[in-house]
Amino acid sequence: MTRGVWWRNESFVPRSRIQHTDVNQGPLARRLGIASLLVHTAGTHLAHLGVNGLPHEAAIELRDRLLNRDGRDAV
Amino acid sequence: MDETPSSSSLAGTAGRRLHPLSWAFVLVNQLKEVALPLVLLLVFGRGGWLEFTGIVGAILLAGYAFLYSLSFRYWLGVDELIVKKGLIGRTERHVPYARIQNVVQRRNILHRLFDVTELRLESAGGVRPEAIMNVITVAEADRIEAALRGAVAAVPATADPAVEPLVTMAPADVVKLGLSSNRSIVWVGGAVLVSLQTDLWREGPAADLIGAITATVSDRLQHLAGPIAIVTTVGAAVVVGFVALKVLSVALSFLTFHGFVLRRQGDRVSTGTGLITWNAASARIDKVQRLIVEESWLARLLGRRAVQCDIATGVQEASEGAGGQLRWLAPLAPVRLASEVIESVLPGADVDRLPWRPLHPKAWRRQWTPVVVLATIAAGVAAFWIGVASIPAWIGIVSGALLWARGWAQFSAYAFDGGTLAVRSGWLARRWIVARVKKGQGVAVSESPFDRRHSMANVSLDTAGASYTGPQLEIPYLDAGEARALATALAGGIGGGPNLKGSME
Repeated sequence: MTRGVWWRNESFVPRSRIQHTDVNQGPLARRLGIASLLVHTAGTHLAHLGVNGLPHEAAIELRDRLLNRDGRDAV
Repeated sequence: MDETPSSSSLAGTAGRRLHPLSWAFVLVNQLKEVALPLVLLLVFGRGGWLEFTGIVGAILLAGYAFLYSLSFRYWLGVDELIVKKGLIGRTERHVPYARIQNVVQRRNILHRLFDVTELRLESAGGVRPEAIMNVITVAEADRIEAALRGAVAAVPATADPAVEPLVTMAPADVVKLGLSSNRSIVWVGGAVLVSLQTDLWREGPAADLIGAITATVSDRLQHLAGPIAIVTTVGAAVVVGFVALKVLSVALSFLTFHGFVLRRQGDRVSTGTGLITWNAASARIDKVQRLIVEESWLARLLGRRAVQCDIATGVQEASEGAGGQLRWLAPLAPVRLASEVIESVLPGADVDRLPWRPLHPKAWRRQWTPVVVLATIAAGVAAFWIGVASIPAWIGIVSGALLWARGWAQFSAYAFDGGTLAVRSGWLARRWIVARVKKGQGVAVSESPFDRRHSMANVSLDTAGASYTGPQLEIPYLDAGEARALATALAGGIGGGPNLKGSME
């Protein structure tokens, strides 16, 4: 994930480290059909990683793709 | 298997209860949160209904604590611990021994008087410990721990104290620790902040004392003849303040680290420490996420280092209030012993043997420039009052900062050997942070505008269990290309590879 104009920041979180994901939509966002996707890890400074302003379908699709379906997760 | 009782047959038996005095300890724990208002109420109260409510509340709490501790029962099964508790809603909890990651024992002065202890069993998930036994006898706690050791680590359940300690702290070591640390500054700073918030310094005995001291000092200063006397007075005050800070540091070190002991048994490490409150904690070695090694300049003169670790656990409660988690592996140990401890916990991660690589050649300029800019602005402003005298001050600060920046950049470095990432930094006081890459949770590359101007970047590795406020495993001022290659290698190494099993924590 990349963000920032002057202070640039790129974060990498492997799929196997994702604990759970949230897709959030406020009332206004629901009207406009946008959503934010939040990825949670067990880490400290990168414990939450979020993308704002995604189209709702795209957020859902991205979440489904991120979720670890091969069952290799080792908690 | 046939001869040992199964869980269901265990639940039929009476089980074990807490210590008969448990209710008192439960009560003390509950009252801690309301203790201050209650005392204020009793001291300053005027016998109104408010005071009455407070007393009734305390009696109700005591009754609840008493019944709760009566209701608490537990069984040690073959491979799991069963706990039944609760007054209105009864809870029966089965905790498999294999799920228990950390075992914490806490004994304050009250516990010591009655030879009892509070035992917390923590697993990786959840916010609260799986089971809190408040309180049981020390012998009973040892019995439970022995059962856990036998089951979890598959090592013979030998008596824990029989294992030769890896690290111990004699009183002389604790004194050295106090002298080489500055823990008191945080306390003094906190006390100053609190006193500024309250009226303590405006009225009352503390205010009288401060007033008397200020009056004496200003009186003396007025009668002093010449600058030499003023300099000696101020110098003496600084020395007295410094000595007082160090004495307080030593006292605080005794509170926390008196009788410190670190033992390794099988795949677990355990520590015990404390003068008034005894804290015992143990954790599995493969739960260690990072090591932080520190060396203040005085510690370096003494040839000593401090080693602490982060343990992954989902239990946030323990890290906040109770402070029972395993954190210190060696509060201050000779360099060779510190290396042994590191080797024992993270083999091959001895900070003196890692393949260190330097930062960007211009890293010192990045450290130095902000100081020069700030000093120039400050000197420019100060020139309005003190005139040309600000020039020597500017020269002093800028050249001192140059010395620091060159020294810092010379020592600061990073090491990456495929499996382990380490970073070191500092000048007079030094710090190393070491982590296994496969334990990482995420990698970040960041560039500030200044970084980009010099084509530098900053790489950091995030791990579980780290403190939000503490130091980060972060490599500043790397060449941008090198940073990107490193980040890619790190991202590939996290949790990857064939050994995914059990790699989360």
